[in-house]
Amino acid sequence: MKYVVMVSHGEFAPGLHSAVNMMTGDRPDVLDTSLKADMSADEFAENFRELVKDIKKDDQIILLADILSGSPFTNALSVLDEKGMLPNTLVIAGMNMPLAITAVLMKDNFDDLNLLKDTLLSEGRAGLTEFAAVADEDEDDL
Amino acid sequence: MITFMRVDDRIIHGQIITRWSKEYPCDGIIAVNDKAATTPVLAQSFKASTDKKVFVWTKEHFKEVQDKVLNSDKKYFLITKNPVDMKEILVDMDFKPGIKKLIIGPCNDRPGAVKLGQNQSITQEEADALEAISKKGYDIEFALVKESSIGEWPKFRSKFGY
Repeated sequence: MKYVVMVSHGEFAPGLHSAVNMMTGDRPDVLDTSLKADMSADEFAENFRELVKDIKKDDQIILLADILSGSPFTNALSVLDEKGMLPNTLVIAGMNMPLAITAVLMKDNFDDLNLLKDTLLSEGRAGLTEFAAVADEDEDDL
Repeated sequence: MITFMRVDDRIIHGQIITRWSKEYPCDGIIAVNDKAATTPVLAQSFKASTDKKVFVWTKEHFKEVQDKVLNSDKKYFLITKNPVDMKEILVDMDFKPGIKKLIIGPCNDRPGAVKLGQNQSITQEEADALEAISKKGYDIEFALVKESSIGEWPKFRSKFGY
């Protein structure tokens, strides 16, 4: 089974998870936890360990984090390392909505995490964009 | 040489390093932490967090190469995860960094810790370490970032029986 696991500071991961749920429905293979203000990194790591305790070694994880090398990112990796899960984990930092939706909806179409990676990075990067309103002078040009 | 010393329970935090390296010259970071140095994924994560050169060393390794650090022309930030490791370096190893200032950054709330400020909580064991560092002649300031200093060790030591 493939899991999407979101981690972040504050309410970002639970918030992103709930936003993604609106598009994909509530699914058992999407999980989240976050480092709250005044929570120790050890407490976060403990919560993360509990969150992923039923994920088995032959499962795969797509770990989405808010920021590269932040405490949630680092501590989640440390727990997955202890579990021996890193070889089965795709790790992406700088998560956003297009990336997360694509991860949840497309993950089961890819057996190879490396191929999934290209799709996810491309969706995530394309989602970060400036929207420039352009005056359309041809509006009445029938 | 060492240009800046800091305790931060996240060890290396990219944005914060960027901020402090505007205050003090920085060619690279030396992070001393036994767990991170011996867990490759942690060491790699710290290295990825900043575009500065990053060394993640055990205390033992730091002890071996400390003279090389001092004799280097490169300007390094010295960072530990907690005051106890910093005390081992400054007091027990008697490392002489050539600067007197130590900045205490984030130290999370934990059971038994005394809260000094936002995200700055110190256990008795850590207080004992800070007292020893202070006795060694170092000025210890509590500041998440330079603008948010909450004071120096003499202001807080009485909370820990000193």
